[in-house]
Amino acid sequence: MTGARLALAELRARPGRATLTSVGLALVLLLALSVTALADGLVRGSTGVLRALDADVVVTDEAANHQLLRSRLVGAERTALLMRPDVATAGQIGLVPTSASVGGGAPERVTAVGFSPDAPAMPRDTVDGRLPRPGEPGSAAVDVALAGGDVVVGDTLSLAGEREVEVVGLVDDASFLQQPTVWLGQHDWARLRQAVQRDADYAEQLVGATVLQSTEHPEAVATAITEEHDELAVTTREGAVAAVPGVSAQQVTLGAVVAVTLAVAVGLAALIGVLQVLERRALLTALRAVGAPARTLLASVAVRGVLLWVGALIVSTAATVILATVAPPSVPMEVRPVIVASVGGISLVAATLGVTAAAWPILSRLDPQDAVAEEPL
Amino acid sequence: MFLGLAELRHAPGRFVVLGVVLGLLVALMTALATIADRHVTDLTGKVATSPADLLVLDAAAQGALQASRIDDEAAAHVRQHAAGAELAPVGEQRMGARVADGELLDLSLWGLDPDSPAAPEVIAGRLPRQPGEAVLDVADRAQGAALGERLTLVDTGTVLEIVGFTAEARFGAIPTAAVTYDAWTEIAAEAADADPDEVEPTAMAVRADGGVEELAAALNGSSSPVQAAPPSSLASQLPGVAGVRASFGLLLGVAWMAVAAVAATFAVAGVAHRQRTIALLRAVGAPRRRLLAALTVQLLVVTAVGAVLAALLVVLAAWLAPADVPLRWEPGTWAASAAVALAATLMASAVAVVRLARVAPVDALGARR
Repeated sequence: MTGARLALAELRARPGRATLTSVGLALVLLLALSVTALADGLVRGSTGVLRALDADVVVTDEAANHQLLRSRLVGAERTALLMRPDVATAGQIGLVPTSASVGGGAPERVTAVGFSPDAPAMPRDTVDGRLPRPGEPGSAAVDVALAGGDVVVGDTLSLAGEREVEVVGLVDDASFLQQPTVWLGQHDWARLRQAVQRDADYAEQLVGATVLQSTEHPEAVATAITEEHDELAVTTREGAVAAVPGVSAQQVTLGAVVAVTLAVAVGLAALIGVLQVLERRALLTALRAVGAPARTLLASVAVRGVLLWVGALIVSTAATVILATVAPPSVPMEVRPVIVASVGGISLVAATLGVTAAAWPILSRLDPQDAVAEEPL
Repeated sequence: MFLGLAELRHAPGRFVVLGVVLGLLVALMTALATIADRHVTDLTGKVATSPADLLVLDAAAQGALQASRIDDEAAAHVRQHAAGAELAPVGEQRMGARVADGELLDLSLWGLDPDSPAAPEVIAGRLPRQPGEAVLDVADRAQGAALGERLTLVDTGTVLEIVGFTAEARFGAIPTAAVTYDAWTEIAAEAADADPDEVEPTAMAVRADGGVEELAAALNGSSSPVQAAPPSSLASQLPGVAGVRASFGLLLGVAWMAVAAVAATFAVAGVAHRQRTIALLRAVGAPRRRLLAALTVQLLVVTAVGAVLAALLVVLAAWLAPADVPLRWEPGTWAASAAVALAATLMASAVAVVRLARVAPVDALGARR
């Protein structure tokens, strides 16, 4: 406790001295938080369509290798899967890249998702309105990200510049490959596909991937189906998320960047520990001379470092939120509490270790006799 | 200057820690810049390296190749406005593929005629001229690709022989192959269970004898069914490119500020730590300029050492990185990052200079602390 009081007293007495150090720490933490938020945003922006579904197993044809966009499974093929005792229910989705404009505005790239009216193929939640009803033509539920968030229920959407549908509902966090999604019933989707991919005929059933709700562990179900069906590529929803183009590479690359940033933070903490001790060497020596144990002094240095770190974390979190708000829409930064908690927690532990490990060798060698000697230059 | 170097030799510990921190930051900046560049090249290389003067896409595709089809109306529009220009169809489709008996890969398969404005440039081997031949990008050697090796398209069972390699010509950050346009049409039709006559080109390549801008303007006229743009311009509009550039640019900006802040923290703390020494030196006649030079030299030396450390770290990381992490050792990028870090350090030293300038000779007597 004495160490903590010492640290707090010093911070109160000389707050200005801590300011620049805090700015340096805050910038390194801002970097760590920005990279993590960006990595998270990139992955979530590419995989929302899968996470929005209430499915735990994803089936594509073997050649598609878990890729939703390339899979050409026909809806009727799911009947065989439905007969399995380890499958509770099955649905079908089909994806077509196209463009959409709201109310005659500028067109933007979207992914049109055709879905069967089965639980695993439908988005779990709508934030407004509803999903298109089975057999209801000319209706769509759209991602709230469309048109910069300015789309509302009742708007008219022009798909691929030629097919118009009415927005009947809004879904959140359902994008695919950084593009908003438009959820359509089978008929509208098949018409759109025919218009966009003119080498494709009108599809009587959705062509794409089959999604399942399993009654047993999803991984076991995926393995069992794979063993029985050579022509299928079956994986868990998490496996399908990892198979989305670019996701695993982004995770590895940006994960390495986050690790280096945290290493920088630890190095900076060590530097601060060294500088704190060197800057106050004479005072710390005097405290040793009047009986303060080296451990108490170390505690004061560590507590001061932690307090600076917490202050820097608060500042950097606010800065990251501001950065994510003012960044152009093409920068998919998402500052979620879990990101702040994980980066803050890991860096705090690492920084405490860095400060103490760097400061202890100097503190433990402080000689109380130096306090009565001429002050060294 | 000698004063600064003498102190570096006398008390190297804290300079080493600062050098390591700056080295990690410069390595981070180098890695971020390299990854951003390589990632954009991997996403767009096939389009960016196209020798065509213009590439023409379906206007409704909004620059996304996967959503583009040039139908009869669009093709007629191009022929009408580009009379006299050389035109060639371009096809692109995603497929599953295996190199030799390797693992299943996602492949971007292009149809490009070898004697057309769309013909890619090969750096090894030759262009495909027969239906069973393909070129791959040299980056795909990591997947086992070699001249004479088999490339099997899983969707159709088509077996192609690799006859050449392109460079920096990947698309969508996945392995990228090119076959003749006719071969591509056959494969695309078989994959879609359609007739080859029904398969429409994804885009068209245009080679004009001058007047490219005027031609683009004519093709893009009002209510045009197509979007025409030079390959480099189209590459920058492809999905994800703006996001990658903006995101990594943002991170580089923050990293640059972090370098400046770390250097400033260290420099100011250094001045505070040596306040009485500095005051004494001032009292015995050391000019302020000399002390400023010593401080600046220390920061520059430590940053330079950090930059060398960064080079070693990036070389090591590039060597250890998995094939799908686009990290390479690129001396130009490292030099630019090191230069930016040096500039940031010099700017940061200005903060310490202000503080140092306030140290008066009388402080040596301990009157002001």
